[in-house]
Amino acid sequence: MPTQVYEVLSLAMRYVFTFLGVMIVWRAFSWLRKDRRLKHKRLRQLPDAGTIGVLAVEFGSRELPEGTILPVPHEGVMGFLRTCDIVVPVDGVANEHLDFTFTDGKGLYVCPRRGCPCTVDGVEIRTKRDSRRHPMQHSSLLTIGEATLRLGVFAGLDVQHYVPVAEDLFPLEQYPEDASGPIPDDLPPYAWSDSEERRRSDAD
Amino acid sequence: MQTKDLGRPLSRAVTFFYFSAFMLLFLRDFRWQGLALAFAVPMLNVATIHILPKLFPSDKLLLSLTNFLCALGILVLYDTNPTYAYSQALYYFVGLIAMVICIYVVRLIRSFRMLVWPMMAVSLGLLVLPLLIGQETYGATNWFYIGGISVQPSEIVKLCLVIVISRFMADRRFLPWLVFAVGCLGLLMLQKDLGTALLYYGTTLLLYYASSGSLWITGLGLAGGAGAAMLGYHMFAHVKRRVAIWQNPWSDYDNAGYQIIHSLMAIASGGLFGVGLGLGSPRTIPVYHTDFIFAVICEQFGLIFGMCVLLMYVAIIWRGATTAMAARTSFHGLMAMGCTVMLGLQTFVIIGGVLKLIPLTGVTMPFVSYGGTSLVSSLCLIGLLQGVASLNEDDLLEDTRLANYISE
Repeated sequence: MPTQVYEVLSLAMRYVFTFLGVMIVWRAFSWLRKDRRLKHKRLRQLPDAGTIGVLAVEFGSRELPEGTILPVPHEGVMGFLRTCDIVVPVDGVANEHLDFTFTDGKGLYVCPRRGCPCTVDGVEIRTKRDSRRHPMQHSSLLTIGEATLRLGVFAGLDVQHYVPVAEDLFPLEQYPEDASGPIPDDLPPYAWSDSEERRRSDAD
Repeated sequence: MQTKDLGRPLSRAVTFFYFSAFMLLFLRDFRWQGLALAFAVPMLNVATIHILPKLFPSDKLLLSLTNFLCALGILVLYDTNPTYAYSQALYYFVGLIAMVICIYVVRLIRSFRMLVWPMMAVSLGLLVLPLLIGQETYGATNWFYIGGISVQPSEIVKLCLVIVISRFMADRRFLPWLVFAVGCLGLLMLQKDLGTALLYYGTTLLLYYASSGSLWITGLGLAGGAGAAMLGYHMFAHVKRRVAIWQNPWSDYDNAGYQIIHSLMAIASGGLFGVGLGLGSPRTIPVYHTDFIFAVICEQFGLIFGMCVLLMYVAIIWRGATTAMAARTSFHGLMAMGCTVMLGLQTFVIIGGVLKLIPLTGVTMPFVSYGGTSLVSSLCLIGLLQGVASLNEDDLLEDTRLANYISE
């Protein structure tokens, strides 16, 4: 192509390229904005997104009264500080007291920081090894400082074995740990794990 | 999180941009390679955006923007030096494969706990290699050659740094990541690769802030970095020279200031709309294919388009930060944040240097600059980000399943 013709063509095309560049950026930012709105909408429909259950305060303090429900994410830090994932403003709780991780099929592992012990269902947890031996299950009781918290795991999440929500309502003897016996119908829905639901449907 | 209706117009705009740009260059000299690229680049772009998301939930926006920037690099290189463009196109293809592998790695290997120690050993070994068998280029010994192919190990170690630091920070183990980061920085200082050292340092510091939220210790780290920079200024003559040139490039017009002055002149001559693709004199800018490729873009396409390119990086960083914040585990969140910070810092350091906002350091412009290792490692970073994004999408689907399960 003759140089002069190419120059004219190229000079004309630079406006097209600029327009396309601006359009691509505009589309990209519209996409970002729209995705943000869509995400907020979806999260409003799923208020429990990102959490595996709740911790119900059975004994707390004035800042954390009895009956307060604390959402539990998959993993994080529990402690007194506002920056913690689960804030427990109760005497005896350290700034960052323990780390917790949920493993599907096993339960919620709590690993206390050095010098910050806690108990899970009455068993004292001091080390990582203790934590591995005693994962928290549905309705397990956690004592941290002067606070007592009960874990409720959402239905559909698989834990090692189920434990009734409240022992006085559903005595432990009635539901053995391996859950091999017949499963009664009077348990609250969120006490069931996937495997038990499957077993139940198989039995039916 | 995907929005389907906005994906198609964006993809169409990108495809039309590259088809018309490569066709224009083909009309200039009627070389068959130009015609081949006019079809190959848009087709690769369309194939990547439409096929990859069918294999697993991935982020189409990240893919589109990354593809646009990679193809822009090939376009500018084809205009200025076609040999570089063919090589870059080949690395683009290799990079896409590496990106897919990274996505699968993130999806399949969830914790990386078993891998971090070997990764640390390999990374430190790789960084030692240039000191033993490397060659000095532009004052830094950060390259070595294997079978005629030049390799910059610091680009590969970038990925390992992000993964290792994220893993240990997520596990709240302070010492291993600190030793690793200091070891990497020490080796980079020995190589005199100060630009990459700055990236590693900045990424480590910002990741520490993201994981701990401790302003006090982060500030201490920042002060330590400033102290090290002062020490470097007094220890290395070339650092002193670069700072002097940054302050007044006209003081040594023919020598040290030559690069930056020509870069500024090219940007200014481009004006708002550029001098036109294939016109102007981009080859007068020294290292136009790597460090100063942004000046070439501004000269050929104009300042408005240059700002659009900057905004595309902003969109990638925004998307990366959103992905990091939506991650369900702290490891994945930190990894996504590390990739985002690494890309963002690299972009800021090189574009800031080209525009004379900060002293110029020898790092490449992510996705655009010529350099196989750099392009592949940048695409791998995007691969890690995509992996985390796809895990986030899976988690959201799982949440929906759980919500339906409870409501039933």
